[in-house]
Amino acid sequence: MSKKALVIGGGIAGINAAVELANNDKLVILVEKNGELGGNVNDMAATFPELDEAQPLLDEQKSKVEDNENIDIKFNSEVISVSGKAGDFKVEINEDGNTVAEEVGAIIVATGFNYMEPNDYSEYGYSRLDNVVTSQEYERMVMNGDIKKYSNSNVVFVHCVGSRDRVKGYRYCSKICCTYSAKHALLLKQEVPSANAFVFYIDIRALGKGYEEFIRDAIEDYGVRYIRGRVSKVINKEDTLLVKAENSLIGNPVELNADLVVLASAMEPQKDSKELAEILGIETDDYGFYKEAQSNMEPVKSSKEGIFLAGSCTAPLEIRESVAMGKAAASESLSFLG
Amino acid sequence: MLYKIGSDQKKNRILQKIKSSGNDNLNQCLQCYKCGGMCQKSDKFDYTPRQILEQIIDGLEESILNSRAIWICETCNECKIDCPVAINFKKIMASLREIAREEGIEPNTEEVNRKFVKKAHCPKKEDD
Ligand SMILES: Cc1cc2nc3c(=O)[nH]c(=O)nc-3n(C[C@H](O)[C@H](O)[C@H](O)COP(=O)(O)OP(=O)(O)OC[C@H]3O[C@@H](n4cnc5c(N)ncnc54)[C@H](O)[C@@H]3O)c2cc1C
Ligand code: SF4
Ligand code: SF4
Ligand code: SF4
Repeated sequence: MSKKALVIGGGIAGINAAVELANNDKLVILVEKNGELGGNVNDMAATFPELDEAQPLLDEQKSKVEDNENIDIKFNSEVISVSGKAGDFKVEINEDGNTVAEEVGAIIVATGFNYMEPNDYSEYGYSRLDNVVTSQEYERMVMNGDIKKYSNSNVVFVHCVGSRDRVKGYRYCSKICCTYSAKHALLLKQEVPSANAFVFYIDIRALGKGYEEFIRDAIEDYGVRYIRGRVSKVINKEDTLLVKAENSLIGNPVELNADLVVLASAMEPQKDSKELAEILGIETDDYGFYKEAQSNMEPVKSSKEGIFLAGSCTAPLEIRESVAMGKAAASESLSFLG
Repeated sequence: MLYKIGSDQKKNRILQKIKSSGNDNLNQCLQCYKCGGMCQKSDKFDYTPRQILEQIIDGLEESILNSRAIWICETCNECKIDCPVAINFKKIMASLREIAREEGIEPNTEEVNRKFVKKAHCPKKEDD
């Protein structure tokens, strides 16, 4: 059996898997498609549910990998072929243009998610209207201070864009957008107290420890107005946006003038997730997320022995769960690492 | 009926009045629907208690003050006792009746709360 492990993807899940293995004296090859570690957390201002600053937290995680002599990071790299079996995989990697061969005992897939571009939602005017942005773009606006220009303005946060939509998006719920939208409204009220925050929702899903209280604080302590009804339309009207919905709690159609509209778009599988599944010989679900060996009891085993799964390549997940899966996947791979 | 949400809560007269009459926890309502199911009178209401509350938050004054519910409510307090955030509808409904009375709005239903009818002719305010 080879002592080395291969981790594919250097986001928060892959970082934690690699560090855990290295701490157990295993050699790790960490293959990252891009030129930097951190994945989607690089685009994050602060984290729910404690509103910690995201970048210092991430830097600390990155340094654990970068300073580790057991971990060989390959940037701008991708896995091109895998053969053999658990304990003895032969892998070819395209490392920045050159093909290199490696032998590894176990593989951890931690390739994360893609954030959906809601271009099909012409009713919301994304990419057509200025001041209609995605939640991920909004995180950037918080980081670079762009939200400061919305003093005395109305900012509208739209839930479930591309999620819970069989026609233009996905049937699943993206699980954490209720909580990060509350975070966005809360950050607005903290940074720009004179701004008004409105959130339109179908139902509020606070699926984690402390999330319900976090969202209720946004409503009760920061005065964020939650309106129950999926947004129907965003219309350009002179120099503002007109948001139309139904307030389903009273059954009346409702309108609101907005200066900025933020779309909580879906977390979707990576565009190439099925190709990588083919290379690895593992199964995906219908969407393209990687499938567990058993959904209750084997959350980090893939359908193939010796290949493990971690983080949001399996489903939309928050940081905490991605980290936990990374560590669990590392622990389960140890038995294949001689 | 289509309505527009204003962003200035200070202009929301009815919300300010309800708040100043000692109901400052309106935004704690979970819209869980428990009150509407438990109220003995809600089958006669046009709006359930939580629907009244939602309209107060958005300042839909005309619709609230002309509703049947505010006159039919028995002020029995059952909804507050079992509400998970203790919204005091008894008090809210009493304040709404008072505001309606100030506006010269007459009860528009035969089912008026009898306790209130007696007091309507009395210059004193309703009890809490
Ligand atoms: C707008 C927004 C706000 C959020 N806010 C919060 C929050 O406040 N709190 C919270 O807990 N969570 C939040 N999240 C969720 C958080 O972003 C995810 O939980 C986290 O990014 C998941 O980490 P990951 O490692 O699984 O995936 P990713 O972050 O997607 O990382 C995957 C990595 O794998 C690499 N990769 C992909 N494919 C390949 C390949 N084929 N080969 C090699 N490398 C590859 C990618 O380049 C990337 O570096 C938010 C998400 C969004 C969209
Ligand atoms: S987490 Fe909330 S906003 Fe996101 S898809 Fe699910 S219900 Fe919609
Ligand atoms: S029972 Fe209380 S929390 Fe639930 S809807 Fe009624 S007022 Fe709101
Ligand atoms: S106080 Fe009024 S609204 Fe509440 S249960 Fe009694 S009658 Fe119904």
